Amino acid sequence: MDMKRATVSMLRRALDEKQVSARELCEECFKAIDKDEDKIGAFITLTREEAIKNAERAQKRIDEGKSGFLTGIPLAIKDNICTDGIKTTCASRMLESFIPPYDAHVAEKLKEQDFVLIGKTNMDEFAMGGATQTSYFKRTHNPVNTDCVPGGSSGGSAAAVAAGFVPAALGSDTGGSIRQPAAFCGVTGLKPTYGRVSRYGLVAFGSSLDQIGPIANSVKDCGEILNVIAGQDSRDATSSDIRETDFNRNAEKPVKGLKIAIPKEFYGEAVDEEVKTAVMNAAKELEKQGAVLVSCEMPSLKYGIPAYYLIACAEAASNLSRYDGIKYGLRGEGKNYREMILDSRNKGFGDEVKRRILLGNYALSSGYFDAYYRKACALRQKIIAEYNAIFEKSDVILTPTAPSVAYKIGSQDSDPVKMYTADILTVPVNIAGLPALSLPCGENEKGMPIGMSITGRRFDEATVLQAGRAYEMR
Amino acid sequence: MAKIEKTELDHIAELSKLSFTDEEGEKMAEQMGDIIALMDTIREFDIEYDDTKDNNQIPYARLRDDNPRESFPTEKLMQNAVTGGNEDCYVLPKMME
Repeated sequence: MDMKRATVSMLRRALDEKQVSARELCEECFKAIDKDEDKIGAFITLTREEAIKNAERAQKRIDEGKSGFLTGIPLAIKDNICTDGIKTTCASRMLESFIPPYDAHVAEKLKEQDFVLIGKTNMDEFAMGGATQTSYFKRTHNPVNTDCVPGGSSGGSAAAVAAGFVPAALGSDTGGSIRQPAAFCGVTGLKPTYGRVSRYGLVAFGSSLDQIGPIANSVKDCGEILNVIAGQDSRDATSSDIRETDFNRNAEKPVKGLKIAIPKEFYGEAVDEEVKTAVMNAAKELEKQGAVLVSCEMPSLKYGIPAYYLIACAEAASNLSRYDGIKYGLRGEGKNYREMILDSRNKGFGDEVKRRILLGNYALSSGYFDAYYRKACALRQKIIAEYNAIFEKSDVILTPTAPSVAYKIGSQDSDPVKMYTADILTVPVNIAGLPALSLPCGENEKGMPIGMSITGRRFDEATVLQAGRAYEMR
Repeated sequence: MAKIEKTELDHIAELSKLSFTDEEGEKMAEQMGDIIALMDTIREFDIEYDDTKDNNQIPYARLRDDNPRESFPTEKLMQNAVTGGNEDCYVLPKMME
């Protein structure tokens, strides 16, 4: 069975109709990994032995006719999501040997279904980066063109799906880290509404922005996986009790009359022409299906980058202060307590993580707090208000996911400012806590995938998935 | 290229529990200067934070009931610890001289 482009829905049918066993499926994944992983570098840890055992357990459940959507389905999980007894490194030297004593909420949810964990995927260190090049362990390569980056920070998860190693994976999205790698690798990724999925067991980066979501080969798979992982969890006080019975409930409904906003600032000079053309062609396709395109504005977009980086880094500086080498993590050396902490952090963190900690503490420090952090929070309010105004007249917003297609490995390594500004189209969604889906909408003349994003109202993933599905099924 | 002062870098490095060699500090000061110049664009935006608004509309759940739960097993918690041969203790350098 060719796993490339295989959807979870297809594999579910194949398993239930006994065309393939869970073990065979699992072995297919490892066959593909053994063949190509050296070129891609999608994984930090492979869980081969446990996977076979879990596949056999899942098969029993399938044979009993009690399978859930993910029973026996091989999946990968980003390495910042805790898995009981399996290393969770955050792609950092700091957590190189860290074995969590518990499962993240999402890992528990997947286990309830008897899924099969294939491995933990590579990422930017502590999810800080947009290219999966800041990992302590390795760089990940884009399966479409291995000279190019896969995007980030969930680049390992997106690359694993695009390479056909797994049919779907979990990622996390603080400023675009699910959507942008999905766009670069030509797969589909969903960042749910903030509060939709529990963050319990997700290693914290920006706590008011982080959200876990699926990366898969179809819009429908993203909705189905969200059905499994969403829901309130008492261990994350920001997880919401707003329920959804089925995120795909509108997936087969036509988009006739659906109002799609096109904010002009998202199609500005910073965005490559080939990207704009592909996304506008997709807009016309949806219009052909009966959707109504609505022009609109988001004047504060240009301040999205400083607002995002100030808030995210302030939260990161606070969250990462726990890494002192005492209870877990890299233990440095030193004659006394202070020297030991400094040595642990100096050796444990990479340059990008250090830059963000420094920026966060700068923004929070006395004399700068009002000028930077508080101002960023004010801008957050403004951006939320502008989104609310757009959603008074529209149901979803259509934008490019990234200003360009995937770029060459190494071409942006030395310029953090350039790297930050490339996030301009994805960070506003996190600032406002909205759900957004990235799906492929074509490729450039060199064959590199182009992604478009559909953003919805808070807790309205169903409409986002409806619009995405309508385009996917064109 | 903007660059932050060494004294300023030293101050935020201290707050961050990080330290840099002279060479590392030079490079970091330059990069931080560029990053802060980008952040400075926010200053031109004339807006004040409104304390009366819910900043990010987080629908906070009520706090969970305060019921006793089973703790994590000690051996699991200690599997990541530096124990210095004593499996029940974290080993630390002296905190007081």
